[in-house]
Amino acid sequence: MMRRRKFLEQSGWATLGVAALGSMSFSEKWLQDAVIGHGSHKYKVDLNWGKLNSKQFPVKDCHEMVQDAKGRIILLTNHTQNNILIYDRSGKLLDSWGTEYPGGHGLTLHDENGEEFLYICDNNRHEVIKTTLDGKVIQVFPFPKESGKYEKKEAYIPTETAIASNGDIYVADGYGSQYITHYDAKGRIKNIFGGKGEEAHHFNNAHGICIDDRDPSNPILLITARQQNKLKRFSMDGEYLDSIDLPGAYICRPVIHNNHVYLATIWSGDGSEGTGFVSILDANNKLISAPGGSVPTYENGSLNPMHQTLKIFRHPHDVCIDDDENIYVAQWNSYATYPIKLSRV
Amino acid sequence: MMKPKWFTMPVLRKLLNGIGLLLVGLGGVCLTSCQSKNVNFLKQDAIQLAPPRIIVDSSLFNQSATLHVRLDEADAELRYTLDGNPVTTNATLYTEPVVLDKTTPIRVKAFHPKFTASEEQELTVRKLERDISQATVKVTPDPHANYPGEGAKSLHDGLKGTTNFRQGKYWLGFQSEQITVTMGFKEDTPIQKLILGTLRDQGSWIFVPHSITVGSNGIEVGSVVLDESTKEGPKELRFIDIPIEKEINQEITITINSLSEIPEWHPGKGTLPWFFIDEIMVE
Repeated sequence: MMRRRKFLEQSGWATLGVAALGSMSFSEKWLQDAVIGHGSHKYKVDLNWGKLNSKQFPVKDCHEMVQDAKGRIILLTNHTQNNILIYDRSGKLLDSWGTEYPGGHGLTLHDENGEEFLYICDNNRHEVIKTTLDGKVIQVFPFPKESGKYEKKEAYIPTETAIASNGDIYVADGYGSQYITHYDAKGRIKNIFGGKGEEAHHFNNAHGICIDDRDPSNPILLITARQQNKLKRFSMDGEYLDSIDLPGAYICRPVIHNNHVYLATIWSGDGSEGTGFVSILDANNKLISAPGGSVPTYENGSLNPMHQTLKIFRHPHDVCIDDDENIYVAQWNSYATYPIKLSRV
Repeated sequence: MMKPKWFTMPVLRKLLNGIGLLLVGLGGVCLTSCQSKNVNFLKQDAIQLAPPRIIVDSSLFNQSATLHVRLDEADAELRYTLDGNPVTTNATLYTEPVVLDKTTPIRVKAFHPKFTASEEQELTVRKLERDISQATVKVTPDPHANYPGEGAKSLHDGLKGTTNFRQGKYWLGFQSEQITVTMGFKEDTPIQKLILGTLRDQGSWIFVPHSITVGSNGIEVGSVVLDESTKEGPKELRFIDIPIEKEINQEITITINSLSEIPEWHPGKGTLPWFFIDEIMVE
């Protein structure tokens, strides 16, 4: 058995080698890899990462991605043949599960004393489901009736969760009534804030939320107001602090990695079909790179309106950043395509 | 201590062969340590520029309009024509805002040394030929409560909305199968063409209508069927021209037939789309 496996490995490698040499045709020497993005954050584009047999492992919308402690990339799609696809970093499929999340939309990973859990926001089920990494349901958070803000579950269409270090859970109702519901670690409601309206603390599409712990002594909440092209900052107890304006950028969810904020930007410019790019903010929350988008420029402290300049992305919905600062981009409504990988250069 | 069995000459030779094979593999693949070398990254010329944005202060004007063209990509060249001809690499290079004082079809396109040229973007800006602000205009049914504009008055006030349809009171929005606009003029008015200022914003479930007919004197004097209405298209201000082929009296009736349902490829498939109109012009 051992010898057979070794033989297969060796011949496999040799075949790969020849195939790779053979594919380097003469003309390709003249074709340069595209490099996109700006300043310190530039990338090459791998459209083939994570591509699977779509009959065997189909996707509809690729909504969100997270990386677990083992380095595996976990993708949530709203296709109920396999709501969860688990890849290694090279894009090889390791595992799949999930048939009961027809509106699978938000995916957050939380390390609870050494054990990792997933929080899935389901738009169609109007609830949030906590599972283990292999799909066992731990807890279901139904619509927060006891908050007094909701009479029926249909008014609650949760899009994202964020879990604080003390276990508190924040749920953004981005497609529903625009409230942020704040639970304690046991799932009891502590607070509810936000909601629809025109004031600064209100939301139009509170689509994504995360804990901004870049200043460890002063963690805050970052919440997207996607239709308003704003990233709003709130204290952990729901006090509105201020907003970061990103005109032309319809940002989905903030993802923090090494002092930067990465945001899939689902539409751009005037919000036309087929647009979008990736936004990267620095430690001071200034947009410094927009792969697929226009060169970010500031005048008198204000960002000039952003727009798509390269037709690479079609409605990016989430980003996941690995240890080498490569970005995996999951896309919504993009003809059931698999995620795109951006390799940092 | 016994030597391991595999450490004999024939086995070693096999092992070396194996390493040889391995090296061939490594030459092309090197799986983990230099992963980027074996990935078939997207090439420059496989990437197309997005179309430049056409920005005008008013797409409908009495005196003049100012045109800006924008695509903030390093090394992109923006070119345009104002005579209706396609934009080629020989077309005028955009370097500064352009003042337009007559009805003009604007066509723009972006070119780049590395990336493939963009699709063309088009917009016609119109000088108002005729003031019809004194006409009497009625619309049935009433526009949707969320998008009432200033009522029927919005349709002949010479003011144009933008693609941001929620801004201002320019746009009348309907979610109805058929919309009828009746326009009465004080005197006999020869009309060669009617122009409807409409909006396509499929991301907001707003579609160009299926067809429009114009009647006067109890007969049909003009009509247009829009095959594009079921197809995917950019968000844009869409002027619909309807040539008037027969004589009219002092009243015309414009019948707008919405697309009966949103097409299959759209997330809103099967439902009645929205129709948005902000101005009617006559020439």
